[in-house]
Amino acid sequence: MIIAPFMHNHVLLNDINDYYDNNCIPITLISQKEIEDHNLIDFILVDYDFLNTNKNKIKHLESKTKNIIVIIPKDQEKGFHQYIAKIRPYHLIMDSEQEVNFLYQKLLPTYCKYKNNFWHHCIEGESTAEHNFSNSATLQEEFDKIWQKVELSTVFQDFHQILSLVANELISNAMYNAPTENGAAKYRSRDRKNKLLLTDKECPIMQVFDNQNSISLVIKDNFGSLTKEVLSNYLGREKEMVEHENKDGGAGVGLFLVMHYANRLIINIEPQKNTTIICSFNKTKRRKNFLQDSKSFYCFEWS
Amino acid sequence: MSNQVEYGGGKLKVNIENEGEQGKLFFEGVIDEDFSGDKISSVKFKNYLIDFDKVSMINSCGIREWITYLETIDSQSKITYVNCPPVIVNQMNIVAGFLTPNAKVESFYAPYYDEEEDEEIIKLLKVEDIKDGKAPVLTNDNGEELEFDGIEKQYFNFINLQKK
Repeated sequence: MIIAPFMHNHVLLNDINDYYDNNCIPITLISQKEIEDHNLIDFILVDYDFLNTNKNKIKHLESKTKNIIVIIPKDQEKGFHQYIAKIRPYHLIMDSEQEVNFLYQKLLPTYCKYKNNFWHHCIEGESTAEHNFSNSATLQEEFDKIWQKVELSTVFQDFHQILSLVANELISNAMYNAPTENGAAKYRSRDRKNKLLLTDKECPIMQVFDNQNSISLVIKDNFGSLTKEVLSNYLGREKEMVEHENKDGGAGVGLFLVMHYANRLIINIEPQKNTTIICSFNKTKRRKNFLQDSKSFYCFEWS
Repeated sequence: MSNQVEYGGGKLKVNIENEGEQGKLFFEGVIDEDFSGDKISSVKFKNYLIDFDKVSMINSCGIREWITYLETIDSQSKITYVNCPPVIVNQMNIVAGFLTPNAKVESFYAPYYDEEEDEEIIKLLKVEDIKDGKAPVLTNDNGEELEFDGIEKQYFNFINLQKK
């Protein structure tokens, strides 16, 4: 795997050699020609300063790989959604020790080793619950049962309500938006007051991975109809407040809410096959820490 | 006089009390796509007091339905939200339209942290308790100071959004 960092005065430039394993070849101070000479660059790390001043170069790099990871300063965290709206990246992370460690120690090595099944290896903890959702009328009851299997004594009081909200948004989207028939969305425009009873193939699955430090919800559908464009449209709103949409189907703010609460969102799309969304939350008794923890967004789209 | 309306097989209950010109609406449960203003907007009041004390979640479709419901209320009517839990405060701060020009929050719950007991304590505050965007200083039973456990600028943003 080849990683090409394009950064200005960035700490990662110094650290990169400490982290890569044998499968990763970091190319520091890579030239345009070197990029041209490589058939494939797996990941290109870019800091926001570089992005701002080298927009044309970035456009060119995008033709070489979808995996451009934009690293934005921690103190600009409030603009997370605005960055998604503005630069519509496949990958966006905060410049925090936690996320940098995750990137180098987990994501890059497992991506290299396991390719499209990499995400299994990026989640810590055991799967404590697995559930198929076939009936959109009973989601809340089913979530309540699932949270009973999760260790929630080390989190603030309404943490489970945040989990319910995020699970509700993601499962509802997977039930109404994912299923296709003859290439067309089957239930997307249906009013969500009209409940669904899905067939086995149409049912999304949620697994919950629980460990001492975090909880991850893994939601998988069997359609792969989500696209990066849809994600960018709904995750990235330039305003600090989001407005609902008066349209058929969902309200158009669910994904925005998911990203607002999640510490890490990994989306793995195999078009027309399946979509897996991994949504992780740091466990803490301090709500303030939860809100201040870094955020990251990764979208992998496999051809 | 009072009556109760249920949605989604009882996951949301709304108790409506008629006190002359003012209607008091007590919400309990989950506000989601199954909520509809139609069932409760047939009786009109001059002013509305809306109690969210027992609301456990409001999702994106619930927010849309809520905003649609607000549109059925006369713009001259006063809407007062009381006992707003963090799940409601958070959504007010993120999604536009919750606080219409005729709506105001009177009281809401705020998270505090008790270091001595290592636990979160949720306290009911009045909007006027917030001075210059700062949470009021509160103490536990032993007189130890509690720490506001959130980001003040973010959590109290709804106060700026209310039409003064």
